[in-house]
Amino acid sequence: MHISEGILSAPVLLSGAGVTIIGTALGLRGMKEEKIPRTALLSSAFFVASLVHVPVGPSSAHLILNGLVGILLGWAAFPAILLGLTLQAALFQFGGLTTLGVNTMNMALPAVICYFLFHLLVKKKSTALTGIAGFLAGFLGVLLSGLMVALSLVFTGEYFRQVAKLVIIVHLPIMFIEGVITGFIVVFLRKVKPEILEG
Amino acid sequence: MRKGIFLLCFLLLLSSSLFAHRVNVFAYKEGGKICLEGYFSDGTPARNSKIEVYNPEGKKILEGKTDEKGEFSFPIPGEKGNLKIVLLASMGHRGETSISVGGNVPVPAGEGKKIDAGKLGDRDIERMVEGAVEKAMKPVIKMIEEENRRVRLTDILGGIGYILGLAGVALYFLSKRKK
Repeated sequence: MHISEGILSAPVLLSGAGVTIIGTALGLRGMKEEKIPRTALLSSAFFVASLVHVPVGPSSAHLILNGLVGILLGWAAFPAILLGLTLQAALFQFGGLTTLGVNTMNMALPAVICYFLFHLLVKKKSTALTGIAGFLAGFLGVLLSGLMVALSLVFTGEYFRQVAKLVIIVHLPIMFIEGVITGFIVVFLRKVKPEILEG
Repeated sequence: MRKGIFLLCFLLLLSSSLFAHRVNVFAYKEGGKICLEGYFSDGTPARNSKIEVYNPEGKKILEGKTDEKGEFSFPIPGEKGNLKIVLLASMGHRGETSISVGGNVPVPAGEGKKIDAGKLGDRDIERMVEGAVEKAMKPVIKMIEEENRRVRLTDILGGIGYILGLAGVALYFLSKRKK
């Protein structure tokens, strides 16, 4: 999911950076004091998750956890993911500093979409519904990110359908794994700390 | 909060194979050729990936594709200086490396040809030694590359430390503002 440096053209990089700046501003503005530790925690989880590799046939992919980050943070997913990606780029040479904007957009925008789609459902009385909403958020987060990566690469001359197909096939197991992880975590949080889901 | 820390520890445990996901290109000279190997950081070869070779002036001199093993080779060009080699794998992955070429093509060592030592000029000996050294250095260079692509635990803990530190700073300023 991390697009390397030196691939995208300036307009794509700039629009990615623009979306990221707006998203981060929105996320920071709405961040109350008590939400800061949670944001930091999920940012660290996102930072570490990318090191968990899942071998998939010829290629391999890693966890992203943007669905989880999104559903627990809302717009604050932008600053959380931006921070995680900055550190990944600086410490692991993952992606790159110039593509930070685009990469953040590709992973954080789906996170925010997941938030708006599922955050009400997660709070519902039935545990099953919470679990399903969590699963869908985890699943959809990765799926949408894959589509956005494909979309960003369209302007480099790669064909959208081809790249999209590849990204999605490679990440199919990841989608299921993240769905299950997110589902479990959300159900767990609901049982032990329901107020987290209220924020 | 405590549960979150559990999750973090769980992820840390899972990440036992600590490789960052990026694509690497490894270049070495062998038998008058430059050989390239492209692989993702967990060891899977970068198959069918586009290779671009640039000369020291930054002009593209060669284009190709890696094979099923992620390998590609081409004869050493007559250029002098650093060749830039770029590998473009699918899904926006890009790796880069460079290799210096000296203008003269080194004679591959141990080709089994009988050479009359008396007829060798300084230049020939230099080329032969160059070839032998390159061959001997290959495993060493590869080892260094492999070591470089490992993610170190200190990096991971450092990253988490940065995030928590930033959160601490933010909380500190917010608490000051409130007073």
